[in-house]
Amino acid sequence: MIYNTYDVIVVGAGHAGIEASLAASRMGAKTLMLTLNLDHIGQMSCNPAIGGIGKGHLVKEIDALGGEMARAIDETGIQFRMLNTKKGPAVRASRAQADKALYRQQMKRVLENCPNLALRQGSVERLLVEGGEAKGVETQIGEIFYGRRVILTTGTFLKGLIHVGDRNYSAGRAGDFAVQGLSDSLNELGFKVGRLKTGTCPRLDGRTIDYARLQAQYGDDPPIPFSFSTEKISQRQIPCHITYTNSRTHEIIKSAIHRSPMYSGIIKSRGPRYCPSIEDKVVRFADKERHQIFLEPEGADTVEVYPNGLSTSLPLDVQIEMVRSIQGLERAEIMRPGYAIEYDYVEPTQLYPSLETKLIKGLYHAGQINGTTGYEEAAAQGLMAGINAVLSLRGKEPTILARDKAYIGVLIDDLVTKGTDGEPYRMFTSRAEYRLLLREDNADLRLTDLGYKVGLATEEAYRLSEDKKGRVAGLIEALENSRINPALEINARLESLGSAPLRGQSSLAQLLRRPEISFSDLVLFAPEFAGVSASLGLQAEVEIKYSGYVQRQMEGVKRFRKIEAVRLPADLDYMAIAGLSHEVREKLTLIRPCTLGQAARISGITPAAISLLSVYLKKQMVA
Amino acid sequence: MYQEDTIAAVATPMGEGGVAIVRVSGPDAERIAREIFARSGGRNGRLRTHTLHYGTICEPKTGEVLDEVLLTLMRKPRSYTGEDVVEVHCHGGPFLVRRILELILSRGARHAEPGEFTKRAFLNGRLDLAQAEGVLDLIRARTEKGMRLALGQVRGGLSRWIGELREDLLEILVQVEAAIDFPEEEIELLQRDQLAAKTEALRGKIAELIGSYEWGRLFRDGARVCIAGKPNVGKSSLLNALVGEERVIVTEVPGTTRDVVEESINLGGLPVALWDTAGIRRTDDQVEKISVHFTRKRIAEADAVLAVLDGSCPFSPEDRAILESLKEKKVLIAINKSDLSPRLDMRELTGLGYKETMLISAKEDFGLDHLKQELRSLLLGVEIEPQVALTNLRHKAALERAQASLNEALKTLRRSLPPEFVAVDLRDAKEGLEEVIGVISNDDILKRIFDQFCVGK
Ligand SMILES: Nc1nc2c(ncn2[C@@H]2O[C@H](COP(=O)(O)OP(=O)(O)O)[C@@H](O)[C@H]2O)c(=O)[nH]1
Ligand SMILES: [Mg+2]
Repeated sequence: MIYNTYDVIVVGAGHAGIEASLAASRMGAKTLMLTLNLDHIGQMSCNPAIGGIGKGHLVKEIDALGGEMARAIDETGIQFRMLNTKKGPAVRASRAQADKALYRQQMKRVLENCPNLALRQGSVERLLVEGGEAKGVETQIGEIFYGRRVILTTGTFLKGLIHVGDRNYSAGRAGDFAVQGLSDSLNELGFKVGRLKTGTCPRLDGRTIDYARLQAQYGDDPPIPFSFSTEKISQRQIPCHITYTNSRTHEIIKSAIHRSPMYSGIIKSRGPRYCPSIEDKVVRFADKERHQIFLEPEGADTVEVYPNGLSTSLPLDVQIEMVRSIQGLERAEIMRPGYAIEYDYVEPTQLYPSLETKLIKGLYHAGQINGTTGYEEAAAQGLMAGINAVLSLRGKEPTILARDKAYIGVLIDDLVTKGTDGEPYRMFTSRAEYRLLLREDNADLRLTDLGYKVGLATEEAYRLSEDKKGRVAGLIEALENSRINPALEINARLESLGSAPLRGQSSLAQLLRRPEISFSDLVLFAPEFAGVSASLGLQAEVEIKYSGYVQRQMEGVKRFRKIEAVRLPADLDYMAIAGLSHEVREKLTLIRPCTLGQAARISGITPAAISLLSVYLKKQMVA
Repeated sequence: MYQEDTIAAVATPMGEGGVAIVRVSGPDAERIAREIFARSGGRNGRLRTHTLHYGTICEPKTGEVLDEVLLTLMRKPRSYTGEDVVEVHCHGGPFLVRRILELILSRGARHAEPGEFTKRAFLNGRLDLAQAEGVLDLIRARTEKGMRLALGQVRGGLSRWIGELREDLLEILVQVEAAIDFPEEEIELLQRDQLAAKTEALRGKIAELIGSYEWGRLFRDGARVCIAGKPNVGKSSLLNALVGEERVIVTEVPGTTRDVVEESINLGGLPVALWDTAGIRRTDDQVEKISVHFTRKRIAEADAVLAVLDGSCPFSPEDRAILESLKEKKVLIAINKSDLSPRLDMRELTGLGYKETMLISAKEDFGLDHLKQELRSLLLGVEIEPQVALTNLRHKAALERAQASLNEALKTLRRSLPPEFVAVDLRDAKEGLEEVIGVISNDDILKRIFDQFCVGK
């Protein structure tokens, strides 16, 4: 049976699939989203939260480019918190607890209301390829869908295998079927398919938790939204609670460690070190007396609670005993056991930076299939795959975000250049070279124009961001030009802010350069700035206060762009370049970097090899 | 598929020594060895790797035996270049060595360019950048000490040391980065004064290493010492006495030495080029004028000046003029002709700020050993031998960059700016260190965070 032909087929309806489908259909492509279960669109398989350090940055970037994630969490978040508030603006990051069910519903509603987008339930088991090009997909029951571009966003579903103690069963996540055939199909096409492991916590029944004995953690008041287009969060906010493991918990875990599939040898693949199971933490950091557990509500309308920090694949009896050893959880009932899951991924060095596979034209991979973890990382890739699939349909150059432009650029460049190194990839700010430039607060200024150009960001968002750019410049100038005198009352105010008194006339900009003075303090000295919006003020403050550092990073960017601008021809014969070692040649041939800069970031490529390469290119150009 | 070609060269200095080594590296090395080498006892199985084989080198066409040799095959990657390497240890006659090399070249190898074995070793990851540069320094080294420094670098002395400094730096950086990326984890972080103390200590170590450059450079390139003084004070005589041979014409007519004469001496392992110059005085003689000009230029280039005065004459305005012109230099004052009755007023010298002077006699070979010792310590500064020494200007520039960045980091810490700004400085410093050894990676930091801290939920 042959169904319609589509421009773009998206396989999967997780966080990557959603953004890919929305981007493609919003850009005007006739799009089909295929998913195993239409009730589980946008499911959060792990903890009920979006954002965090590095991840919040991604969400803001997705928003600026015209993606959906930020708006959805703004609609459905039940606790918003800004992290790193004591640090500088570059590393402040948003995080929110989501109402999981509402988040799913919200996403499904948006998808169902999107023109050009069809939704279908079905399990894709085979990829259709002709002459090295993706042609469509075939489902479990023999349905065939033709599509000119295919985006795979299959998450942990490829041959997913769940472990609890010494028991295991096949599943994409608890409660969902796994997909068996697709990774074989990819393997047959020549893709290198590997295996990764991750895990999740048991879910507790909130009615059996003794909250009176626990410390509550409230969100920010007022909650600060993710999306640049959200004005206000008005839904009811709910606190989380904090508790700790103790020496008895650790004893229970240690005495049962041989029953954990990670330690008994049943699971061979390595899990992410930044997302360790509780048994890992107890074994590796044996002298730590307690570990923090955040009790996060899974929604406003459910009693299920996610004990963040208790990821485990120990047998259920141990899970129960361990949970009940913790303060406030003495009578807690587990509603769903924690588990570890192993799944297939496709090594992302087999992708171009557009996320198109090198092997099959028209095929794109996004999300956990590329070896990443995290909803935000997945969504970011989905968005870019969607954008680039449509651009390529139109014969246009792909949109590739550079490392100095966006965390999304860092993410994708790391994936396609370095691969996963055997462990799921998660974003951290330390992965970015130009951290001071890639802030949440300026994501709109960095990316809205790009999103608008490809047809995703709205006209209004574009206008606003362009307008903001102009107003920041104007504000900086105004601050440089307005001067204040060392009057008695001014110095008294400075003193009250813990700042030294003025000796002579000073500009407001000079005052703002003092670490202890923020833009909001300036209003005390110059009431004419009282009307300036906080986000505008922050931009000016960053540029004035940290100009030395920002300048230095900009210089780094200049050097970076120079080597990044040297393009490497796609058909470059690395085997023919004299002087390169065999290993270097093989790596370059495998990765096929697009630029000299990307080549330099491949592990094992020495600076000397890069100079040889650039000499070779120069010679070629002369010849 | 294109492969690296096979190169060959004589690996020992030409024309010296009883045994010479011809080295062949590349994919054809083993084939060539099998074609030209006959093992004793007529055995001809596969050559075992990393073993000395005894036999003869024969011209395959004519069957002519060229030499009796020892041959080793080192299969890749465990060889100097990381490729298959064959070394033929033959008798050292220059003619014979040439013939063996030519035979190898005729079988399909290419004559290696200078440094090409090392280049391949580097490109194949057998040597890091600092080690490779060390090999090249080794080839150029002038004295045994210079050789030992370079050798230390090849064995990884410098790389190891820089590696340790990088470890120190990462330890600081990891604290800072963990504080940024994991604020919710209860990490005991960022004791600012502790970080500052560690940064300060690291900066000190780097400064010491930078200081060793001067030391390393002198041993590698040799020191340059200019002998200066007015005519006839005994400069040429002193040079001859120091060299221990008659090299320079000594006359009683002032102004005899007009060219700059260079002689090498060895001061306890330190190679020194001694320049004898025309004396400096006011003159109308055209030729001598030019010489005087050259002398001044030499003085400017020298690492130190040996100022010679004639102790048997009163201090003259010319002497004063010369000494005053040396204010910026490292100067050692030798009062020559101390075998004659002294007529030089020492107070003139102390008045000019020169307290330490040495009495010598070039003629009677008196005070010269002491002079050598003093000259050596003047050139080297401290006498304590640094553990490792920089010998390469590129390394020095990179370390200076690291040092400047650490200075910035200390300022940032003192200004109480948040950690991400400290990180900018520390990462710059890290890049500086990595420029020397050529490792660049951001992943190291994350790896360390996960090893050190219990982070993640
Ligand atoms: N008595 C004595 N005569 C010396 C000594 N050194 C050099 N002379 C003599 O001084 C004269 C000039 O020496 P020379 O080396 O040519 O002086 P220059 O012009 O400074 O190079 C020669 O006649 C030397 O023999 C010394 O230590 N003692
Ligand atoms: Mg002379």
